[in-house]
Amino acid sequence: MTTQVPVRSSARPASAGRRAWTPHVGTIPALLLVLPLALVALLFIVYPLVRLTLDAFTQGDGGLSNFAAVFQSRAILNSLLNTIGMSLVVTALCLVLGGSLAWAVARASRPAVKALLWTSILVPFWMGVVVKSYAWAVIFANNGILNSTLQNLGLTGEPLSLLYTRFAVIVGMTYTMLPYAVLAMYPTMSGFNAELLNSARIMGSSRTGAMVKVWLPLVRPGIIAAGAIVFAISIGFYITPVLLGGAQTPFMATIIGDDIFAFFNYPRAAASSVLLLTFALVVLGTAMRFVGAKALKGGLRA
Amino acid sequence: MTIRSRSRATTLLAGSAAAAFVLAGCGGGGSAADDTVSLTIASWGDPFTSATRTHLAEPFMEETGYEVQIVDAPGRYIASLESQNQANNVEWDLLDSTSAPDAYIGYERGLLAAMPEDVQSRLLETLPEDAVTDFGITWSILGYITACVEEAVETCPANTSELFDVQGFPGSRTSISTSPMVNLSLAEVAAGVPVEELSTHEIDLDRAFATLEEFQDASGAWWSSGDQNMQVFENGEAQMGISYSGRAYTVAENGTPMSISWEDGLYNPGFWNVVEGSEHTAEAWEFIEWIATHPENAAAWGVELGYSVPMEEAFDYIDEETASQLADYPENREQLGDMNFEWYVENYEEVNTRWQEFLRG
Repeated sequence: MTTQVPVRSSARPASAGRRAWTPHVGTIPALLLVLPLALVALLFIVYPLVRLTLDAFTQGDGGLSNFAAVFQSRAILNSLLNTIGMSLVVTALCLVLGGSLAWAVARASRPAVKALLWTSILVPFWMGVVVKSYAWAVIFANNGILNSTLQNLGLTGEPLSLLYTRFAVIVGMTYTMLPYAVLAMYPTMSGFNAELLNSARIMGSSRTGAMVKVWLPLVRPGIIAAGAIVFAISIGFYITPVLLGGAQTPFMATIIGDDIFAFFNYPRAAASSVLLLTFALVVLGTAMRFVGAKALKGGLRA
Repeated sequence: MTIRSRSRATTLLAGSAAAAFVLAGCGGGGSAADDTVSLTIASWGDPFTSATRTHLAEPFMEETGYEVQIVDAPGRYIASLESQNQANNVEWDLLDSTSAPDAYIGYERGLLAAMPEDVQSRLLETLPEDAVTDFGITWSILGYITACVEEAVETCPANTSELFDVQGFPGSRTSISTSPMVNLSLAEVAAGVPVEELSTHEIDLDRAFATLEEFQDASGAWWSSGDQNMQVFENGEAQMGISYSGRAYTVAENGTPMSISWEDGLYNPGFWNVVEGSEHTAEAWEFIEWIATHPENAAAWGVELGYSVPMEEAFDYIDEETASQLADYPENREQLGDMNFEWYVENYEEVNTRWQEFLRG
């Protein structure tokens, strides 16, 4: 952080009797400043996660038995595949749609257009996930807006089954995750110098060639960061799959909830949670290796 | 919370009237002295919590001088009690309307207190025999009944067997996804087990799941909460199915004409329980005896939420139309079967595993 701040003020000689303002903070004050957050993180994030992991290996019959129980359950494996597969689809959709949106915002020259685009991205971001999911449930219902419109237009006789399907879950999740993707990709998109595309064209590149060979490598860190964030958050979804997917397209979080609240099988729930957590960490770790932690942090900060 | 510690806390937060108000609210309103008994009830959140507070807890407080607090823990009783036990810090004294499977499992796991014999014999003076169990009294009772959207199909099924006859009565089905016992018991009824025998019948899992597979193929959606129960009918996701009795009548009141049949349905009691390890067990049982002997309060509670309560005298305070929609209304009660929860507790793991595989696999 500190190295990025221009040191203009400290470069100027300090006048007598007044200490020049310096952006550098000593080690001890810095540690003191971080301490409250570190304590909270230790108590409410690190401790529960360590405890959860220990529980997964020690509760019930202990050892790997809880993990064995997870892998022996067809229902859990099915929902694990469901979770990963649908999260991948959501990630891909968010990258394509979010990338286009981020690019459009970055290139928009009229302030009014820019403001409108930002509003349309951020308003859904600020809505609660339950509200968003119910809105889609109303739209997708058998006698909902979409079906009645299609029927009135004569495009379909019988109402289409949309609600409580994978399709509904993917739409609802993509809608929820889109702002994250845009915010993660926006910094690299807006930092991209559009003149480079012109230069590439002048040097004889085709339109597509310029995009693939010049634009893509430069915005790649943003895309990977966005993909990693969207995927890692997606695999933990709970409410949207419950409200839009119904009982037959469960996510891992639903199954973990079953184990805790309906079947009181806490050890197996702990094992499933650790598996899901490991999966998210592997994805984030791989992404970090690809683009370097800096770009990912930039994405997360946005 | 004592008066002393409260006033100190108020001083610390001097100037912040709102904070002081909240702190005062913690004590439950009345002035709290050191020797005041304070009971904590776990409930389901509104509208449950307010109905319990208005019709049961507040009049009880006035009569006894005890304090009663209500905390919201919808659907989390057993999981929370397990973790409270693990932390050696049992915070609750009473459970409001525990679902039957949770109550039986909770008692089996030692999380719920056994009813003392003297309490049991006194309760039997005001309650019917089947309302008093080893671990509590039945409460917030409803029926699982056959409901059908009249305009959606040619013929609505008139009982459980017809509902499970997917060829004879075509149409998309729905049922509750969170209760294997309800679905398995009704599947057995469809296979020919008389409802009167259900309470002692050992479910043939292979046969019941085979019946449910057929039902599943015709399924439009499963519901997991009362809201969703109504939604699947109102939105047209399902044309017929198993419904909570109260919710089915609400759908009809909201303007979707419903055919509602109690024939061969299930009687589904909830329970008032005392928590094992509570510091005020005696007072908690006193509360349960209090509600068992106050049918007027019980009736008001039940009418507000659309649930039935076990005492016959309660019906003296309920109008005929509302009463006829409740599970304990004699004409309805005699058509309903009881689930064999003793069997469920013994076969709990197998039933749940197979149910999860069936539904989610």
